[in-house]
Amino acid sequence: MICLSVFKRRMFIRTVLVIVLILFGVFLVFIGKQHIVVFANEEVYQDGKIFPALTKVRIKIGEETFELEPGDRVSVEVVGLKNAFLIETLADGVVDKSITFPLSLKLERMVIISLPLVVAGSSNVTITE
Amino acid sequence: MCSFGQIGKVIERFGWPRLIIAFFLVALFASAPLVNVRIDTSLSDVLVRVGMNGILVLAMVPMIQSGCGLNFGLPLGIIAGLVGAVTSMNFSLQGFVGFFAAILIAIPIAAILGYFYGWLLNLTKGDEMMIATYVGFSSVAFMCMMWLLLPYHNPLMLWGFGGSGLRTTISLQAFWLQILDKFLSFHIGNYFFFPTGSLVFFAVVCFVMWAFFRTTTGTAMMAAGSNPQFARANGVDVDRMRMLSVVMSTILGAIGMIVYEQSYGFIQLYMGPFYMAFPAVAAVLLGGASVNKATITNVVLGTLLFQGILTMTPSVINSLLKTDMSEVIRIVVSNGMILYALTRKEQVKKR
Amino acid sequence: MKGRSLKGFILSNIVPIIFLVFAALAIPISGLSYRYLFQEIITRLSRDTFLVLALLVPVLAGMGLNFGMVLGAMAGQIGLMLAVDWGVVGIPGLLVAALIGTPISVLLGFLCGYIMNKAKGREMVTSYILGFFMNGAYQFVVLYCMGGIFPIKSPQLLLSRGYGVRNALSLAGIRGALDSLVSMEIHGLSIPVATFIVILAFCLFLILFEKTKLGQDMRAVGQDMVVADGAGIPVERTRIVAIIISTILACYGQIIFLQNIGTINTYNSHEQTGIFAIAALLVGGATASKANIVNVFVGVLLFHLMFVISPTAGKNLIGDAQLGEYFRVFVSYGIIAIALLLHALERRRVRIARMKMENESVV
Repeated sequence: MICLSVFKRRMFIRTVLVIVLILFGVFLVFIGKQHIVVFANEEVYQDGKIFPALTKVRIKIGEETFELEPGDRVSVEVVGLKNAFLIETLADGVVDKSITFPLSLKLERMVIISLPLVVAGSSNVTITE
Repeated sequence: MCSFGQIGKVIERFGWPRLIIAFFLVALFASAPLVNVRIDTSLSDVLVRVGMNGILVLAMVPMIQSGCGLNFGLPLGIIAGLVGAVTSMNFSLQGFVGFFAAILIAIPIAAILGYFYGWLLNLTKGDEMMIATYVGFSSVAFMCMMWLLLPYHNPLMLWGFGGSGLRTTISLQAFWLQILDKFLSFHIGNYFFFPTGSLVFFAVVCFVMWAFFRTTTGTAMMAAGSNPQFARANGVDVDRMRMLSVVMSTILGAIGMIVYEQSYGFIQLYMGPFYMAFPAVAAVLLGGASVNKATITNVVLGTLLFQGILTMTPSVINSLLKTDMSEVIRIVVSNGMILYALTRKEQVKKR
Repeated sequence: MKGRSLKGFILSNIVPIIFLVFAALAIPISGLSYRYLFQEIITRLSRDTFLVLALLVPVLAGMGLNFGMVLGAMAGQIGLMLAVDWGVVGIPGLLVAALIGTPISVLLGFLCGYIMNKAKGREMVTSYILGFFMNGAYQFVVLYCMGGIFPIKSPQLLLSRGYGVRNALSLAGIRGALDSLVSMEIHGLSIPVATFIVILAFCLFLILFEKTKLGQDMRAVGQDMVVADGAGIPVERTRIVAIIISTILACYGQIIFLQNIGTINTYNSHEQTGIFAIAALLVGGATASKANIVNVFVGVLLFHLMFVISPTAGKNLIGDAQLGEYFRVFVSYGIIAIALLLHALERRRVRIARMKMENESVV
């Protein structure tokens, strides 16, 4: 490095700096981006099978809790890459099943999660419309 | 430079921005028929606007010639004109009587304001333009308060429902709307209207200015502007010349405002006059003037070009692009011209 | 000796003293509670100080009051618009806006400095007009290009015709991001500590900057361009750098300002920025050739105090709040006019004194 002229060294440092800043900016966008997550408790088809809507389901995400009847949808705004939500199915007021589902998002603006699919343990729970 | 010869000299004298704008204007007129814009309507619009704005642009000349720079304090003269107009309307004077009464009332007010303004500028040689701008702004704001308080009582001018204070816009319909424009005017066909009255008035005032600068006082004023030390050595009272030029500019501003109002049809009070110096400055610069040199030709040419652009751009470009870009173009053109003038070196004046 | 220094102190700080007297008289008339005033002042200090700080560097470099700071404000707004468009919220949103605004500010600052160099002696008017000119360019970009040539993802930002940004943009995700980062409540007054930390950190930066070589160069250029040139300082370049720094700071200042307000008025927010910042600086006792950090804080405090008091005082005094409004506008512009006048008189006095010295040395 010492062999390079002062000018070249300055350009090198400046280019590195610019690249670092751009990467930092990209990083910021990833961690700061706001997404809309829609939870849909509706009947859904996947791989030729029908997954019926759940009778009653409770979702905890962040500090908010929602209870959904069949056919309900609720949308929540989340920020960042990793957001987990707790899903509990209720049968006659008693917690039947409880799954903590990790939600990893990248740059999507909005994503729709099908709750029946989550409860059924399916690998792909997002639905597109 | 030598290799370009004649053309280079012309370009150097006119400056690129002016040539570009002149070509732009010609292009606009040429393309007008292609987008269903009538040339005769446009032409008469331009002529009306030249008569409307010309004297305001002319008001720039005395101060430029005497070395006081661009008159950003034009609002002072405009305010004098507004007071004159409003007072004349308060007494329900109509027609030419109303018009000339407005002018007669405005002139002494303009003279007093000009005297004060000139005194300020003489105190601050070298920084005139900035101070002029803010003196202009403060006085507009001050008048805003005054319009609310002054004891005018003609109900046509006041706020409705017995409120106190003048309205923001007062219609001239019952008074002297377009009194100059229509004087001796004529139509050609259905669309062309030649506002003889205002153009003649403009020409007369231009002539008076031109004659003034040929008198001893006029030449003394130019000398004070181009070379103060030399002028002083020759017995010219530079400060007095500058003061005189400011008073003249302010009076012209007052008259110009009254002419503007009669053509426009409304008196705009409160914040109306706030930015009115800028189009006038841009117009005179567009016509070839610089910060320290301006001729009557600059005024006429500049007003024609500037108002031409302002008239033609909305109609043509809007029909072409289906969008209203006129505001943006106006901002870019007028401020660009002023910028160009500010960044040029001082020109040597021809004797 | 003591009497003279008191008189000297009053004369050289006449503007803030007038404002103080005015405030003292008007507060009781306005009938506003001290608690309300305190809260307003705290909020406004946190919101507007950074913008006024941006004006210090060009004054140091002898370029007068940088009306071209509007260009930085526009850059900051564009940065915020893109951050909102991409849905980035909170502190990352502010940082993204700053990251986008910075290169734009550098470019615009360079342009501004370059043009101001071409108009030596008339820098203030030139930067003033340049501000207007750039407003036209900004409108062109924001009103016509964005959404069309320049892609904007979220349709809520656009006008109904499909291109061009809407007039009022909600900054819901970013609102108060910096303010509430670290916030304190004392006696019911909420204080945005984080913002103040940023401001104070920046003041520290300014103080240190003045001690660097670049800072000293600027001071030299500000005092006498010819002498500085003779000492080997690249005068033109230094002046441009001063303006670039000022523009970048104006960009950040505008972002801080807007995150407090919570909405961008796409076509209006930046217009008053320059005027109010400069008025505040002048109210604080600065002149176009001399300004320090104390001027900034005192100025923001007094100027905004008057801002808040005038409408209500005017209403109670004369029965018309509108009058109070106009009075405020009048005072803002009048102050700048008076300060410019004093500045010009001072310049003239210095010039005459220098000529007298030269004549005497010749004799």
